[in-house]
Amino acid sequence: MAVEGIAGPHIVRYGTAADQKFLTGDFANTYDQLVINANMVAHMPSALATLITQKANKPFFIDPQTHAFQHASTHLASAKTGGIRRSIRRLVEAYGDPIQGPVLNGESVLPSDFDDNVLLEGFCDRVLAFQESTLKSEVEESSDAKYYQFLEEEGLAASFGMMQPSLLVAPYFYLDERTGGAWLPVNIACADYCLRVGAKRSVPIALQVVVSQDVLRSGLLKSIVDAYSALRPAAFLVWVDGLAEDESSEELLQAQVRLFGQLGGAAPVVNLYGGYFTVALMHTKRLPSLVAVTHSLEYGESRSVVPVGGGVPVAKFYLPALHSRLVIRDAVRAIKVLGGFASRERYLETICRCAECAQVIQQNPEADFGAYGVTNAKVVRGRSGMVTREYPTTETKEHCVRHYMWVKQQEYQETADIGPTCMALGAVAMKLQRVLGDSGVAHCGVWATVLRS
Amino acid sequence: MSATCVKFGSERELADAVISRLMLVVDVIFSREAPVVGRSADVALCRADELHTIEFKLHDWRQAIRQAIDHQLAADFAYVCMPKRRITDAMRDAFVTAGVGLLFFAEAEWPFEIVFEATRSTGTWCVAYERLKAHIQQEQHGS
Repeated sequence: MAVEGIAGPHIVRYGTAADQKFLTGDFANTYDQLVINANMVAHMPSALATLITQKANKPFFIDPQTHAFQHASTHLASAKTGGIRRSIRRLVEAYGDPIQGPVLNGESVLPSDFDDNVLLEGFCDRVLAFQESTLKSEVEESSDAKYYQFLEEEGLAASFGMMQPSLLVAPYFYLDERTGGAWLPVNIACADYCLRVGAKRSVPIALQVVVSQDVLRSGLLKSIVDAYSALRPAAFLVWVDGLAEDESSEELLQAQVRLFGQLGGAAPVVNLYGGYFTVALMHTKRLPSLVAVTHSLEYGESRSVVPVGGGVPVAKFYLPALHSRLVIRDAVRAIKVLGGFASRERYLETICRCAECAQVIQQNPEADFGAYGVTNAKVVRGRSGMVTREYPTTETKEHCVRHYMWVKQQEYQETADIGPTCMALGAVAMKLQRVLGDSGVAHCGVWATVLRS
Repeated sequence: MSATCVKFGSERELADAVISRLMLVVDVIFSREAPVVGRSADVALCRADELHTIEFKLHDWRQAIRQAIDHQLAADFAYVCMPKRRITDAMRDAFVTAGVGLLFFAEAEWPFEIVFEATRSTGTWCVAYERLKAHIQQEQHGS
């Protein structure tokens, strides 16, 4: 399904500067599109411009993160200084009022701040302009501008054109059961205005729909779906707060699928934080309107609305058969049970044959697998005195992320029918339930049930 | 040597009492707070070329068993050490099923009374085993 502004089913969210090496080079061919958080654009526009024009060469869009300003201001504070984080401050200054006044005053933004239509429209204009022009200006005003212009004129690269996001996202706010009734009209007013602006200028506009899990089970959901379905955006970008597919109940996943289906009646749907379950759902073609799934590097298949950004990723091994990240001790136990340590051939056959594993696993799989679990021990103060904690080395984290990226590429490219997919999930759960416990494999059964329903 | 009913205010006190005695034993090298694949064993010791881990607990033996099961990735034998207490059937079943041994603190040169023997771990990961062994040796040389 060709969708305006969506380059393909596999979208990766750019998280931190350290992610660059896993989005470029050989990895640039593993995904279709980038999504970049606005605070990163505000924080390091030059590096992102270089990433997009020269390294990754990928279409992109920007998540304007306007929801950040409705939460308590402590969520925007720097852990070091206690003041507003620098990247957030830049964003606030770019977006202006009605956000700038309250936020710089240490206050949260409220729905009533958007009562004035003129103020709301000006805000929308600035949020769209930020997405449209920040990176482009960075290139045009850089010392390399003439070089970019030369490349473009010679037809060697479309540098300036590449700086144009493939779609623009209207300002949006988070909807939970208690406050969503007040924010929904603000979201719809912003969406409506941006769609009119977009239509005039032939720019695709996407609407980001960010809801709490309790909304999926509440009466508010119908109002949300009805209100959004009356609009015709290029796409709906859906984010259910903190929904981790491998920890969710059948009821919750069914509700998420219903939401995709209901919104999908009006426009294509992108799951902004998803894992294998949504990718497999996409493969089933049961929801033709589900066109793409976004994940971050390794740790971003789900995300809570607060804190806004941040979070320390830990090294875990993504076990392809289980479609889940495991701490290294559980990964070792699982691989033993699956017979992956018997020989290199067995490892490649039963565990993973990605480029990273093919390089890491050589003569002795059990010993070689240690590369995914090398740590440095540090003595730190714990609750009951000094304790030793292990921290994965940089190399360990890089092995884990490279493996993850290769496996994700395979998952998106798979074309297995629903029957074999569900059978494989059932088989691996059966094999691993004794070592990982019921809760470690329960998602396999839940996913199979929902995929089949 | 039979276990004694010494009262301990904390697990650290219990560990300290054990350590002070282990330091006098000549054929044992050991390490406190030894890293074990993302966890930490209160004590890891090497005796007769075999690795043992010991988790100290005053009360919560279920939690101790869960921790000791993780230690089985890196040690030949994983134990829990507690002050002397009544053994329930549930406790006995849980320790035996997990293959985790139970020790009571004994006020003697060798500070343990074996209540249940640990079974030799069949799930050791060679990488974790070698790392733990190296850690104990390194600690010993550093002390």
